[in-house]
Amino acid sequence: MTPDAVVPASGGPVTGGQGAGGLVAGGPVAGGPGGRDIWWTRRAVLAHVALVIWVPGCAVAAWWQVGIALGGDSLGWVYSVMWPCFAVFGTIFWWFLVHDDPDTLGARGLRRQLEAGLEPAELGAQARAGCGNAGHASIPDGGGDLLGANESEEEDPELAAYNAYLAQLAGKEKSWRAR
Amino acid sequence: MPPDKDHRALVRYRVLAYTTATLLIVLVFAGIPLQIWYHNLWVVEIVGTLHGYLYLVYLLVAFDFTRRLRIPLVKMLLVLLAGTVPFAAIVAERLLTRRYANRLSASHDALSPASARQVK
Repeated sequence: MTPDAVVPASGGPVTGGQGAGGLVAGGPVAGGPGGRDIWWTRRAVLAHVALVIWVPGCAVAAWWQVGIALGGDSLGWVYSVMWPCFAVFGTIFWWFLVHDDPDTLGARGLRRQLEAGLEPAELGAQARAGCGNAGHASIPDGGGDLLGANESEEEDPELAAYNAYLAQLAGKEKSWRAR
Repeated sequence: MPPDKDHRALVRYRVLAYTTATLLIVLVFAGIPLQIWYHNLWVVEIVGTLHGYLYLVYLLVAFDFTRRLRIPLVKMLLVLLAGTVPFAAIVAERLLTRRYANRLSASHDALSPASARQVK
C-alpha cells in the first residue's frame, strides 16, 4: 500500500464503485453472466464453424509441407511442425472465444464497465467469477440496501452471480489502485 | 500503477515483435534474394527456421498481450498475422505500445488526482 493510494485499506467505499452499484442494480443484470448456454450463442457458433474449417485446413497444410520436406527442402520440416501448432493455437483461441463473456471481457466489456462507472478488472478472473460461484456474496459496502432487499426476497441466481462478480471487482479495484 | 503482470506482458510482446520482425526482414530482403539469384540457401534455412519457431512464441505472447489490452477480435487477428508480413509487426508494436501508454495515462488521470500525487 503506497502512500498515494486514495482508497483506505480497510475496505471503505470506493467512489466509482459505489455509484456503479446503484447504476448496475437496476440495469443490465438480465444480460449478465450465468444462466445462458455459452455453447450456442451466435458468437460461439461462429467460433465452432471457424474451428471446423481451421483444424482440417491446418492438417492439410501440414501434410503438404511434409511432402515438401520429403522432397528435400529442409524448411518444409519447420512448417510441418508449425501447422499442427497453428491448429492447436486455433483450438485455444476457440476455447477462449466460447468461454469469455463478451459483456464483461474484451473491448465491449471494457466499454460497458466504463459506462457503468466500474473499474475494469483483470481478465480471466472475471470469466470464472461469472460462471460458477453464485453463492451468498453481496456488495461489501454501499448500495447494500437496494440489493439486500432484492436478495433476501427473490434469490435470483443471476443476481447473486452478479453480486459475487461485483464483490470481486471491488476487491480487485483496491489492489489495482494500491500499487 | 497497473499490475506488474501487464507490464511484463508488454515487455514480452515487444521483445518478440522486434525479434520476429527483424528475422523476417532479413529472411525476405536478404535470404530470398540470395536463394533466387545466388542459389545460396543457408540464410533462408537458418533464418527461416528461427523465424518459424519464434513466430509460434510470438503468437502466444501477442495473444496474451492483446487480450490484456482488450483489443477487438479482428484487430487481434491482424496483430497475430502481422508477424508474417515484413515491417507489419513493427507497425503493430508501435500502435499497441502507444495504446498501452494511453491506457495508463488515462487511468492515472481518472484515479489519482494531483493532490494524491504530491503526498509522496
